Amino acid sequence: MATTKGRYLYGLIRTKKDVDYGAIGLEHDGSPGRVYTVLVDSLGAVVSDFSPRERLLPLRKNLEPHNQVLKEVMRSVTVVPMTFGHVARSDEEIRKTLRRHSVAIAAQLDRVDGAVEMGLKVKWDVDSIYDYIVGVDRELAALRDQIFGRSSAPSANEKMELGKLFEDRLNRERDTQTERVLEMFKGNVREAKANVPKGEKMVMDVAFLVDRGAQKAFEERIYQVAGAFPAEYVFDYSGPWAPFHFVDLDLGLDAEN
Amino acid sequence: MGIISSPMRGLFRIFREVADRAEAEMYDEDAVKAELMAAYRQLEEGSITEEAFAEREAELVERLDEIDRHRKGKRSRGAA
Repeated sequence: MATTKGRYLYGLIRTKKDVDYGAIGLEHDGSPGRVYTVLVDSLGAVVSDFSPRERLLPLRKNLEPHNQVLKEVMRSVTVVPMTFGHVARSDEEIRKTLRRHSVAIAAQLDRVDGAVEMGLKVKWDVDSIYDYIVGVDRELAALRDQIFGRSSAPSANEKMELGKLFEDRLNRERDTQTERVLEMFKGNVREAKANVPKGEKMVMDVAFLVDRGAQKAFEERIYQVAGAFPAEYVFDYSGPWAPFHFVDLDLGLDAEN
Repeated sequence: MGIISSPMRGLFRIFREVADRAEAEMYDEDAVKAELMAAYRQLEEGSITEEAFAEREAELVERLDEIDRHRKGKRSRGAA
């Protein structure tokens, strides 16, 4: 059997000696690949063997080991996670890449050092988001009453105006509540990043960078913050995750996904 | 002839552009891959069920295969 030179890359860590994480990687030659490190100075790339000819899709069978490896690595050391699909042609290519980007990698490792990512999604648990926003915004309610409260049917323009105002107030409400939540978590997190909420009932989708030691306090804080909001606000948190949202690094390697 | 046919060509070009744009959206492999990753993240967060995920993944894989077939078809047409 020919030796595979290609490597699948999971993440980057600080280490002076080789680490073997066992056979927990992406499938290679019909079985889970052995996960180990490729070292340069005091940096290690966490990799497993991978043939660049293999088709690599972000399917569960591949995403699961990718995330599982990062979870395993995170248990003992800070990791700069790579997004799914980074492949190098050889160890030499990895070494060259790590050398070329050593300053940027060190900066990212410092940024997430000793921290994990926690996710928080907040949703409005209401039957109609339109009725809900009308209920909290007087101006919107007044416009609706004005155009629907008379005997003649509203014109297309009026309906459009109402639709626009609704959209505007929905986003304003999201921004206000997101700011309020971020403010309440200030003392518990190192960084926060608000992602664009998907779905009309989604209020916010936030990623927090939390010190590993402060994780329990952070989780307790979620309950306190949730308790300060009305019952229609549903708080849902997840994690710990590898700090994907707090890493900004382009190694110039192929993302083959 | 020129006077009659040129607006038709213009119109055809517009249709072609609209069709190309729609096609580009429909056959955007990266967008489908991003959706696959998002679906898996939802599964990990527990916001969708195993069944819903399996269904979604199968649907997206089918779309990727379609993109692949479309691309190969285009290439062989181009070579002809």
